[in-house]
Amino acid sequence: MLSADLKTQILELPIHDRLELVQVIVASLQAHLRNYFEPGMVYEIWTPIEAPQAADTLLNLLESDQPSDQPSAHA
Amino acid sequence: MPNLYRFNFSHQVLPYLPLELSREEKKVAVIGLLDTGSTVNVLPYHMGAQLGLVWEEQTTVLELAGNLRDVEARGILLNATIGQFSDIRLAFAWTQSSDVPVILGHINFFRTFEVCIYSSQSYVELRLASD
Repeated sequence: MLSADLKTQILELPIHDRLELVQVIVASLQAHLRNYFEPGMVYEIWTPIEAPQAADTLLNLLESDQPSDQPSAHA
Repeated sequence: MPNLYRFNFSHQVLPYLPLELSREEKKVAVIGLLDTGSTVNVLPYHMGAQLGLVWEEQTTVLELAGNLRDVEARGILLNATIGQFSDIRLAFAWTQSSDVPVILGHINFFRTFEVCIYSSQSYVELRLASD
C-alpha cells in the first residue's frame, strides 16, 4: 500500500509531472499484462462453477456409499 | 499418521496436486488441479476408463456448468491416496471428455481437506478437515 507521505508528495507535484507519472504507470501496467498474456494463446477455463445439482447428487452418492475398508471423506 | 502434507508446484504455473486414484484393483497416478472455483471434482473420460469404469453402467447423471456445460457426466466414487494420509473416498463427475484435467473442487475435495495455497512461493499445505 502507498504510504501517506508518498501520496502527499505525489499530490504536491506539478500537474505535468503527475500526468507523466500516470503515463509511466499505464505503460508499466501494459507491459505487465503483456508479460502475462500472449496474443492468440488459448487460455482454457474448465471450472464447473455454479453446478449445485451436480454437487447435491455427488453428496447423495457419498451418503449412500457403504465403505468396506475406506473411511468416509465427506464432511 | 502425519496430519499435514506439503507439496511444491514450482515446476508448474498452477497448483496441481499429485495423487493416486484407485478402484478395486486398478490404480492410476494423476495430478489434480486445485480449483477453488469448481463446485465438484472432475475426472476426464480416459482416466475413468483406465480404472475400469464402464460408461454405460453408470446411472448417476450429472449436469455440469461452465466450459463443461455441454459435456455429459456421471457421478462415481473412487479411493484416493494423497501424501501420507490414509486413503479417502472422493466423488467425481466423470465426464465424457478426455480433454479436461483432473479437477479437485468443493465436493468433496475442499470439504475433506483444509488447503493453504502459498502461490508466490509455489507450495501447498493440506490438512484433513476433521483434524
